[in-house]
Amino acid sequence: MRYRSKPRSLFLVFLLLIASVTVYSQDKKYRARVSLEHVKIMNEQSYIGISAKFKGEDGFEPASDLEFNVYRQVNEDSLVVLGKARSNSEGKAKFTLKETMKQSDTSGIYTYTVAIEDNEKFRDTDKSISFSEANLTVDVVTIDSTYHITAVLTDASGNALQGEFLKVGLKRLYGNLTIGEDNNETDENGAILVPVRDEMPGVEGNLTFEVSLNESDTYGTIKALISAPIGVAIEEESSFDQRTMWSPPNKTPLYLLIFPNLMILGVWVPLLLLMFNLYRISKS
Amino acid sequence: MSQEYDQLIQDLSPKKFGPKGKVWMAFLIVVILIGFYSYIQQLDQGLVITGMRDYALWGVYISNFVFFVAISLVGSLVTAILRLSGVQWSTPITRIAEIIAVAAIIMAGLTIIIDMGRPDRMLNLFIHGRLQSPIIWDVIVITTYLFISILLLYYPLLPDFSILKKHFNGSAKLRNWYSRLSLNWSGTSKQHQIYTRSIKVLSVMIIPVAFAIHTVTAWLFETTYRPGWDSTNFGPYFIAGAFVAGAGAVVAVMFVLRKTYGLEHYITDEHFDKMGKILVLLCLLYLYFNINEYLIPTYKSTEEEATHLHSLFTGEYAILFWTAIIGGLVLPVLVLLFPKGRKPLPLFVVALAIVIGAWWKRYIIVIPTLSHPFLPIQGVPESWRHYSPTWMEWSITFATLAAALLIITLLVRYLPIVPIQETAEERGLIHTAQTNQQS
Repeated sequence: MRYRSKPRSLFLVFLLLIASVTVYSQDKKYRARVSLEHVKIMNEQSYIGISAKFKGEDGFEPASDLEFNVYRQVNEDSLVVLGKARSNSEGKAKFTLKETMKQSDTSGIYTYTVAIEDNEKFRDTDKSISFSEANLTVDVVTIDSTYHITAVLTDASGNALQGEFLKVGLKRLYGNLTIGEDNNETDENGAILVPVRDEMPGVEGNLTFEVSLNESDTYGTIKALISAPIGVAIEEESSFDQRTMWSPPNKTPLYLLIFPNLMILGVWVPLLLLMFNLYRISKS
Repeated sequence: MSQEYDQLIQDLSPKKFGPKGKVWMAFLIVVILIGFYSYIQQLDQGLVITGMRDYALWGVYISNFVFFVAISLVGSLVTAILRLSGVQWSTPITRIAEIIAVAAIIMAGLTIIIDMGRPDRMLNLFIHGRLQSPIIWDVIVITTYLFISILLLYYPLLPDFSILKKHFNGSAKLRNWYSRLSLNWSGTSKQHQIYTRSIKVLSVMIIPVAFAIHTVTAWLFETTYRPGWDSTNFGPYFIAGAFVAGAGAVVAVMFVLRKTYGLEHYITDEHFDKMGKILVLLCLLYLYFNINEYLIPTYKSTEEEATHLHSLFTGEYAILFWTAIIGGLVLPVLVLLFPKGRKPLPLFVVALAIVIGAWWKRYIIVIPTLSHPFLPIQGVPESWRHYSPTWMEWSITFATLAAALLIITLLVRYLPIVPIQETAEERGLIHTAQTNQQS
C-alpha cells in the first residue's frame, strides 16, 4: 500500500508547489495608489491629472513609466474607452480631455475612471473621479487709481457660486506670488475683488495673474489667466555686446587693446632691429 | 700671438666631455627618458595620471614653472644690471648667467605645455587668446623674454666665435660652425659700434621684460581670489624671490664648471665672495617680502587666511614651509655673513640649499592655497582635498629639471664658458695679440 501511495503523494506535493509559486508570483506585484484631479484652465484646456505611487522597499516611491487606461463612465456600469496615459519619472501623468470626450450624466456630473490593467509590476486597480462643470472669468480693473483683479465663478448654467475660495497669484519664474489674502471668498455674485497694491516688475511691463479655485470637491481645480501691461518694465542690463573684461577677443576693452599692443610693439620693433643689426654686422 | 693670449684661448675654448661628463649626460638622458615615458602616458590617458583634481588644479608642474621663470631672471641680474652699472668683475660669470637664463626660460615654456590637458589645442591660445587674461600676458612675455635672452647670449658670443674660428684646436666641423656663427666678425670699428650699441639696448630692454615676466607670473596667482594669493605685494615678492633663486643657481653652476674645467684662474674666490655678498642682500630683501606676505595676514587672521596660514605654520605643510624659510633663507644669510662662508665650497653648499629651498617655496605658494579655497567645493571625495603628486608627475618634473641641466651642459660643451674676448680685453691682451698678428 505504501509503495502505491507514493506517486500520488509526490504528485500532490508538486501541485502544492506549483500553486504556492503562482500565489507567490501574484504576491510580488505591487499595489499602486492612484490619485486623480480634474484641472480646467479657462480658454485653454481641461485634463485629468494622474498621480501614482507604491510602497516599495524604501518606502513610498513614484510609479514611473506606468500605463493607465482612461474611461468615461456612461451609465453606472458602462465604460467608454477614451485613451491611455503614461506616468513620468515622478509617477505623474496628464490626460487631456478633448471636447468630444466630455459628456455628463443627466445631473451634469462628469465621471471618469483611470485603470491599471494587465501590468507586470502592478496589480489591476482603478480609480474614478466625478466633478461638475464651472467657469471662471477674470479681469483687471482700476478703482481709485489702483489696479484690482476681479474674478467671477459660475456653474455650467451661469449661476454665481457663492462661498467658494479663490486664490490670486502673479506668475513668476518659479511659481506664483500670492496677491492679497491666501483665500478670497466669493460673494453672492460669485465674485472677488483683490487690489494690486505694489508695483511689480514684468517683461515689457506685462504681468500675468492667475486666479484659481483649488481642489474643490465639486468642481476640481479651475484656473483663469490674464495678462495686463500694469507692471514696471524690466530694463535689460546685459553687457553682451559691450567691451568688458569677460568679453570674447573681438570685444576686448580698448585700453587693453591699445596699451599692451603699444608695449608689445615697443619691445618687438627694437628686437627686430637688433636682429637686423646681426645682418648688418655680417655685411660690414 | 702672445703666449698669455694663446693660453687664455686654450683655457677658455670649449672642451670635450671627460668620463664624468659622459656619465652626467647619460644620467640626464635616462631621467628625461623616464619622464618622457610618463608624459606619453599623460598624453594617452590625460591629466588623470597626475594627483591634480578639482581642488589642486595646479600642481607640481605649475610650481616647477614658477621656479624656472624665477631662475631665468638671473640673466637680467648678472648680465644686464651688473653690465649697465659698469661692474668689471662680473665678466667671467655673465655667460654662465645667460646660459642658465636661456635654459630656464625654454623649460618654463615647455612646462606650461606639459601642464596642458590637451596640448594639441595649444594654438588656440594664440588664435582665441583674450588680452583680458593674464595667461595671454604670460605667453607674450615669456616668448619675448626667450627671444631677448637668446639675443643677449648670442651677441657677446660673436667675437668669441670669431676667435674660435681661427684658434680652435678641435674638430674642423665645429670650427666651421663657429665660423658661420661669427657672422664674419672681424672687429672693425663699424661692427664694434653696432655690437656695443646692440648689447647696451638689449641690456636695457631685458630688465623691464624680466621684471614683467615674473610680475605677470605673480599676477596669474594674484588675480585669482584665494587665501594666500590675495595680495598686492605678489609682483615684487616674486621678483625678490627670483633674484635669490637665480643668483643661487649661478653660484652653483659657477662652482661646478670651475672645478670641472679648471677655471680657478678666471672664476676666482673673489667672484664667489662678491656673489656671496649679493646673495646676502637678495636673501634679506626676500625675507623682508616674506615677512610682509605672512605677518599681516596672520595679524588679521580672517577665517580662510587663518586656515591657510595654520596649514603652513603648524599644519600639513609646516615642515616644508619652515625648511624653505630657515634652510633656504635664514641660515644662508647667517653663513654668508662670514667671509669663510663665502669661500667657494661653503658658498656652493649654501647656493644648493637656496635653490632647493626656492623650488619648495614655489610648491608652498601654489599647493596649500588651492587646498583652502574661499568657497569649498561640494560633493568631492575627501582625498581630492589633499594634493600629492604621483610618481609619473614627479618623473615628468624631474625630466624637465634634467632637460634644463642638459641644455646648460650642451651649451657649456660647445660655447666658451667665460667670454674670451672680454676677458682678454680686461687683461690687456687683445692689443698685444693684434700687434703680434700683424708682425
